[in-house]
Amino acid sequence: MTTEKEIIDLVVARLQNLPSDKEISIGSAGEFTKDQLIEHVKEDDEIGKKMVTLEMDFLRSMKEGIFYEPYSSSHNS
Amino acid sequence: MSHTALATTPNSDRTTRYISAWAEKTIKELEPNRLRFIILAKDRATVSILESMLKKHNPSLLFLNGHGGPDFVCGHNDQILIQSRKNEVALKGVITYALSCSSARTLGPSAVQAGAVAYIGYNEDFIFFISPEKIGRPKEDTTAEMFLAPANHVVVSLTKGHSAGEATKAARDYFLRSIQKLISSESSVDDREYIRYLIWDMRSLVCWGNRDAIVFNK
Repeated sequence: MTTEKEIIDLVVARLQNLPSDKEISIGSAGEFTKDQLIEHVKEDDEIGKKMVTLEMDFLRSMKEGIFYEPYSSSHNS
Repeated sequence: MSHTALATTPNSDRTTRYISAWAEKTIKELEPNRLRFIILAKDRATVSILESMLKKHNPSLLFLNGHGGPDFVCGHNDQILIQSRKNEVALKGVITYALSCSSARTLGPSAVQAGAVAYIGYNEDFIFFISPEKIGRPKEDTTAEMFLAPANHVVVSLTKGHSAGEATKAARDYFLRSIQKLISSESSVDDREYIRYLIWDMRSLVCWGNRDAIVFNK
């Protein structure tokens, strides 16, 4: 069973691969460097939780084969 | 059908400066004479001016750029422009596209309930990357372009006469093509790191209301 700490470690490891010379804009929360983002994940705050959600969403997308199939209109509201 | 469109382009921080610069670039590059765009830039992106212009010009399209939340979209200096249970009726008869965080979650359906033709927006935070050295020239930032070009394709598609549903799909397809290009091409290892964020934005883009509605006849 995957623990919360293992998930955070996984997300931190993935964020380490982000380019160091870019910033990420996350709406009204502002802009963050890679290192700042990693700190938020380690602190498990709102921004950190958002990054964890995004990473898990991405892993699920890979399982669904989203890269190679036309995007389904079933995602429409 | 009105041949007028309204756009808000606030500029009060890095994020709004970027999305507004790219919105204005997109509008400038649209095919001329199809729609007359009125841009409420910087400190003209206020609730009083927006409501007044909506009444005066009865636009068929409203392109909102700014910070937002589940039930609101902001203008300049984060002043709330449209909020559910407050003034979403101002969107009555209009197709709205909001390049704003998560406003499609509550404001989208609420606006449609109040008479908006369609509301295209994002269910989650709209995330993009920027190159700090390009902050003074956001339109030259090719990293931001990977995110903002697909996002603004909603407006490009709508102004070509495509329906709200088609424009939403066209923008998602643009995101997907960008993602596939990053996977399959000779893109750098760094660029491939953006894939998951492009997927996030693509999946978050939704259309509420009449998916067959158009702003301009083909």
